[in-house]
Amino acid sequence: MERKTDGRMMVGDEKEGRSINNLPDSILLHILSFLEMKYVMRTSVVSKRWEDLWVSVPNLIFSLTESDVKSQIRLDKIMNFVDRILLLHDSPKIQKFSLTCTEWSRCLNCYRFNSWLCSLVKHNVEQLKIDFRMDVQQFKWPKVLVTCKSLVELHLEQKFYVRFPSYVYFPNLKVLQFSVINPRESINQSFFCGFPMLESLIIDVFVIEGTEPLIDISAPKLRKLKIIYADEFDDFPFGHNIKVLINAPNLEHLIIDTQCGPWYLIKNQSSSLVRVEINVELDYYYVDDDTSNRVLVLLKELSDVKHLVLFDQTMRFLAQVNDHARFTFSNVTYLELKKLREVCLYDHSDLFGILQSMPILESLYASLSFTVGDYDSSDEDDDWIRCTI
Amino acid sequence: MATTTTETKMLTLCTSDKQQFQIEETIALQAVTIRNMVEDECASNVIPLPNVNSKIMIQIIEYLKKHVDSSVSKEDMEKFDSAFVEKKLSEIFDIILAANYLNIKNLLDICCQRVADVMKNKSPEWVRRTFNIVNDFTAEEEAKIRKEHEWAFEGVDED
Repeated sequence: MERKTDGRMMVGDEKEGRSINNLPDSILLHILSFLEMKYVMRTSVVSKRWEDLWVSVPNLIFSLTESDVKSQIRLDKIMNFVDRILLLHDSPKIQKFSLTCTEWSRCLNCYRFNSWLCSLVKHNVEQLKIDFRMDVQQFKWPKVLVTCKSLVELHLEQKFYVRFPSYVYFPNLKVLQFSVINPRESINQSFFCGFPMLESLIIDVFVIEGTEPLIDISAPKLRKLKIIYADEFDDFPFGHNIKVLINAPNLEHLIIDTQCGPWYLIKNQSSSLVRVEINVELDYYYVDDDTSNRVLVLLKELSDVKHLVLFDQTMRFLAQVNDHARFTFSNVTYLELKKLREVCLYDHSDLFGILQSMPILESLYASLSFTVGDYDSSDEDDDWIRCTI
Repeated sequence: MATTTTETKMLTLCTSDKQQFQIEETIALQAVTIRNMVEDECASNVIPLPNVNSKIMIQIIEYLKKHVDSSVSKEDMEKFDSAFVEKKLSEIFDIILAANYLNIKNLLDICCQRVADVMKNKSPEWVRRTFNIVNDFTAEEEAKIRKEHEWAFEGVDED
């Protein structure tokens, strides 16, 4: 390679350097699209060139903190700010609208919030992320939103747990995240018909009272699925009767992050399923037969997988039961063990048990849930792998 | 530089200051502009890049070489990226313009993100000083805009 050696000498000369004033508006807008709207608005006073850039910025990001919502007056100010921005925004397309709050506090005025949603649909919004408390009794989804053609990503995070209406149709939505509290019959095949292009789903299930439903995740194009599941009461898990059916022939990546609650049934498991991550929280000292059966059924259904990620408790549970309910992960080539506890370093027996069930394992990564100075876990990994061979 | 002994296909890139860079085709094709030129066969052996000088090209090649390597883990790639953008702003602007012209999306994104991070929570005065932007507002005009977007000017970091 030829290179000009004196090239670097010029770097130190500031006068030769380029400034932000040399960049075209399209790039300035790209820079602004990484900033929260509050900071974007501040740039409007730096010079006349910057004054009106904000009206075309493609991403509208509002990240509110405790001080922003500490009084109704302040929250009203912010709502006025969002109103104005949406009213004056000038580009035909809003790529992303994100409204999040670190605090579980005041509710947004749902009529105004609805008007924002309608305005976003008019601007052909592609990504929507909401993590803000809403008065569930008053809020009604605007019809234009739940049939929105432009939307590609919809993230409804934990603070915003509003039920979908009975009819939804998002023809182009690929990524969906939402929470369900006390799921009844609503999460079923016909619900997922409203998301024909769905590729990635994060579903957060939270049970506070006894229900006996089936969550039926039937999505033909789904490639990535994450299920987060929690019961309100550890001692009396209502969720024991919940069944989760996964019918996704193109699934590649499955993450189950759950208390021991539901039964998982995986239908039509395809060869496409490559990577599975399982974090089942179990009481290590007391696992009843019913629970251990559920976990075993789940692991057996997933025994064809190639990449497996297990968290500490799940790994040790598997090792314990493996003594009498022997099964092999005949295809696992990659194993990752997450949040291993200290005990695994001194007592390798659980680890040996697991490794013995994986005859063609090629690589192993382990991360620890505690810190031991500069402990180099990679060396230890090598030891463990050698042990299996 | 030693010529290749393998059958790797090489491309020659010619910068604005007439320096020539011979690099593997797979590395160069990450730049959509170069890929289009190669696919349209409008480029001969030497691809002219009149909007990029050799100083910037060296850095862009460093970036492309790292990103073509599929064995690098996601975390390591992020570490590389954050170290890569630790440069003077004037250099970042040069790289932004080159990445925009060559159409290398991730490189454009990480550099724009770096500039955005510098602006975050800073006062307009600080932004003007840091980026050499001349204030062409009268005091009245500026006060009016500040009043209009009052909420945005609360809680600014000390300069």
